[in-house]
Amino acid sequence: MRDFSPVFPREEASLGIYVHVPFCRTRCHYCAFSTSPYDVSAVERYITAVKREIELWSREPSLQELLSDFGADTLYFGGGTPSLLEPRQIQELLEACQQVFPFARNPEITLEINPATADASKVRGMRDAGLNRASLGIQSFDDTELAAMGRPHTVEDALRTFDDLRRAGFDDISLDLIGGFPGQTRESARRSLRAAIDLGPEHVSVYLLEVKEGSRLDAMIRSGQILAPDEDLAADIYLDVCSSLAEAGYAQYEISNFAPEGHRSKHNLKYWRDRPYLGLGPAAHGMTGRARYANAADVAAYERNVNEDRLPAGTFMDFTPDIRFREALIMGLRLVEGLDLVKLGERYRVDARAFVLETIGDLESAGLFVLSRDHLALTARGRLLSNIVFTRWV
Amino acid sequence: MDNIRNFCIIAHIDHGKSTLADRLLQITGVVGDHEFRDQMLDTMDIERERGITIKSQSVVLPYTGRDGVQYRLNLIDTPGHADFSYEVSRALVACEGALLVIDASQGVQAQTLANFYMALEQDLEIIPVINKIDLPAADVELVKTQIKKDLGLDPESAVAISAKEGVGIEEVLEAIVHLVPPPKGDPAAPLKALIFDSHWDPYRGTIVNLRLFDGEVKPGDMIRFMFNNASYKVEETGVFLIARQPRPKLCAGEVGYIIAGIKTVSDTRTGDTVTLADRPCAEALKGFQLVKPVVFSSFYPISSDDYEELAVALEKLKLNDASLTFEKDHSTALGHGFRCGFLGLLHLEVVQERLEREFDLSLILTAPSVQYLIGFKDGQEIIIDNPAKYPDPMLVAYAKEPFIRAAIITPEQYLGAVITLCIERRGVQKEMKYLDTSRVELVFDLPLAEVLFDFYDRLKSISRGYASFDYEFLEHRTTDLVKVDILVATERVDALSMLVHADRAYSRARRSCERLKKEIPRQLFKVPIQGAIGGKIIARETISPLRKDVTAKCYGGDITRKKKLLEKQKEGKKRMKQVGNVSIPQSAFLAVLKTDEEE
Repeated sequence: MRDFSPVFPREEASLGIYVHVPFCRTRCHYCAFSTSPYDVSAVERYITAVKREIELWSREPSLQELLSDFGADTLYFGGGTPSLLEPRQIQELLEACQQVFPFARNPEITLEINPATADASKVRGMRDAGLNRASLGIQSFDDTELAAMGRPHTVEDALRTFDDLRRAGFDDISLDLIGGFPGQTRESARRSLRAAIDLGPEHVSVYLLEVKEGSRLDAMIRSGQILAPDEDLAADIYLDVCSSLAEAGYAQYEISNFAPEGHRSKHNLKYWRDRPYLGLGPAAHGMTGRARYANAADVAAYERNVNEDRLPAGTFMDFTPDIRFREALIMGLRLVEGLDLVKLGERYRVDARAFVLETIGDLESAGLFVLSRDHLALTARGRLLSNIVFTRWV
Repeated sequence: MDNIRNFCIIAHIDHGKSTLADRLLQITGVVGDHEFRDQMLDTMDIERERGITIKSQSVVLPYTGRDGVQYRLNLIDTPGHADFSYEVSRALVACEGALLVIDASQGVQAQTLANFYMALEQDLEIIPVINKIDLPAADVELVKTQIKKDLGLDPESAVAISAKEGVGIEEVLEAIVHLVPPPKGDPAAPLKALIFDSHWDPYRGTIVNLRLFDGEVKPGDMIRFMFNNASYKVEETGVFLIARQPRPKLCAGEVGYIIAGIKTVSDTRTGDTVTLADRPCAEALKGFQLVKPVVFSSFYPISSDDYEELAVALEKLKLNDASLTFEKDHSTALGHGFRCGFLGLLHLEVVQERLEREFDLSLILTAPSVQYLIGFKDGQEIIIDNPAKYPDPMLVAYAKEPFIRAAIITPEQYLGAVITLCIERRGVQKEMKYLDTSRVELVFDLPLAEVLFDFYDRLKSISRGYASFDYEFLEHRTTDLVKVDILVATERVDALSMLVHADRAYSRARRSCERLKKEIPRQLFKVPIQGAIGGKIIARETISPLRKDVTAKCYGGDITRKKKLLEKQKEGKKRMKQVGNVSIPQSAFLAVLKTDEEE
């Protein structure tokens, strides 16, 4: 193979900040993520610890350098179930961030909301605390399916929460749906999607189910309690979703994300566009440009670290320019717009097109991607089979 | 010589041969309690794990009889599987007596009978030992009746024991001393010794296990193997007390070993006669045969980089396994490999397992094949064991396949099912006799190829484990042979071709296609899988193209997880064989060989 030796690019974008809230009241069947049972005092300890972590970061010279030129412009509370927190707690974390990180004007500040955890007054409180975007985890508009997923809410709960969000003034709402869950049919998936579109959210995410090792769903499938999901049906559902959403004005911009121009998730785009971001809280991941890190997933271990004045990054992976270049390709190709190979090549000082030809050229005839002189993008078929392409780059 | 007794233990599988051997070793003090472990004489991991014996071994048991006389009892441990029946027969020749172990709850079984006849043929004194009398289901009286009726032996001579509980072991030793005759032979005559097995030692070369009939042998002697006339100088003589114990010489009647700078066990042949180079005996011992492999399969490394390693590994196994044969083979689909010959399926499995475990090789095996005799229209005859070598059917006048004679003992209630199975497998019934009111002995002539293919598993399953089975080789008989090819994405995968009886062609082809469909992962394009005889397609399955392979969620925290998944996917791909543009996993090749029960 030809010698591709990229160099590290200069960072040239604002920082995104992700805060992980690890608490859940119940665990959904498809989830294998590390979460902690919710209790009031655990949450208080958690808030203190995250504030401590923010302070520790403020002393990091490498971060100061990153922030000095461009500042931060997105803040995302994800989980877990961040909507289990009280508005004042969210506000506390928000303010702690604002004190340390210089935010650009009108930052995007998102909160993931589980319909069962927030009533009208809480939602109002969240809005007043400064949140301006909500991501509502509805997953399905069919109560039977919600029960099968182990979701702790009904369709009615979700509709009420959506209504509460609108009343509270949220004008940037995203809905999450799951496609291809066992028991779901093409018809029921269509109905859910129609119901979602009828609500008129600004953004829709549709995630094809992945059966994760260690999840309850995985155990149920292994024990024969439920049938493994039908991959062909999932593919059909996905294609239905893409075309229906496009018709309704939600252009697909990433493998699982749909929104009209102007309502795309600024925060999430950072992941796909090779931009640095900071991850705060237990199990949060961050990318500094030169390394990728993951905080200790165990809440107790996380707290111990910050209380002893150590950044709680449990695992650190130093990038080489080559690794980062390959990740930039993998993440960037998730976007429907694809990648400008000339720009990417300039950024990493490599012949990106030659690299692409060498590594995936043989797949061109399979219709997975379109490669022009300076541009590479996956096709619709290629997005559904994207791992075939991406395995060539790991 | 009067105080020597040479004996072996023979039994149907699981009737307690190894446990009895273990007890004899303990009671005679050959192994102390602290160094004892189960299956003392089985030294290979694979023997211990599977509870089988592959190699013959001897051990001296010093025993002071109730008469106060000190005896040397030479126990020769033999393999128990039909694959190794020639080795067993040679070990029996080395003895004057045999303990025939019979499970008190199971009674006389097919291998009990087969072993009994073999011992009878060698004129051995046979002592029936009824084992497992501690079991609630034990019926000593019934077994005694069977001993009288089925074996024609005196039931009063039977020793009832529980090897597990250590009951009756001394009685066994006394029976050996009193019933087994001491060896006969002339210590002054020229050396005449029988090789009954040999082992390979990395430091000393081949350790030859011998039984001396006449004469004596000592270090410094020039010996000669009568089969190949090779001469060696003896470096060491001795006996086994589990470990090797050098002795100044071995004399007529004794069992022991010699070391003579012999490089591989293939230079020595089980059943061959050893004599002195300058004073040879008049004639060799009778019964020598060159064992020939009967089952053939090609072994290919999954990664073609491992070919050299496979070659080295086979050479190493061959050092200690003279009956393993191999030669270079090449497959269009799988690249370079080896065509290997085995004594039977167990032998094949043992070799495969050792290659994978001891040499860390990942292998693809082709369907085991027997040796066919192909007669051409011009009168020529050839032997083939590889479907790839099957000639143009237009030129073939006839084909013959090997038949075996199988003896099956089954409880009467399964008789119908057993007969049906044998007939399904193209068997010809030769004999049926009631051993008593509830047990029947059946004799069938069966094509070996049908027996190789999951016959034993089926027999066990239709008889709930009660039917027992033994066989011997018979002859080649005319058969209607066809070659079935398997095509993946219209390309013939030569490694999946098989030679089968015409009546079986459709079902075997269908089965292969179904299994391949299950095991081959979906590809980017549609993959037809076809079974064909010549240009005629006789079975077909289709693998529909892969439509979805996507990680739906990929945000900050998912990247590491996703990369791990992708790496795993890539690793998995490496373990597949690329045939044309289809990736076929090892499991697909193995699935084609699997029996129904294993699914």
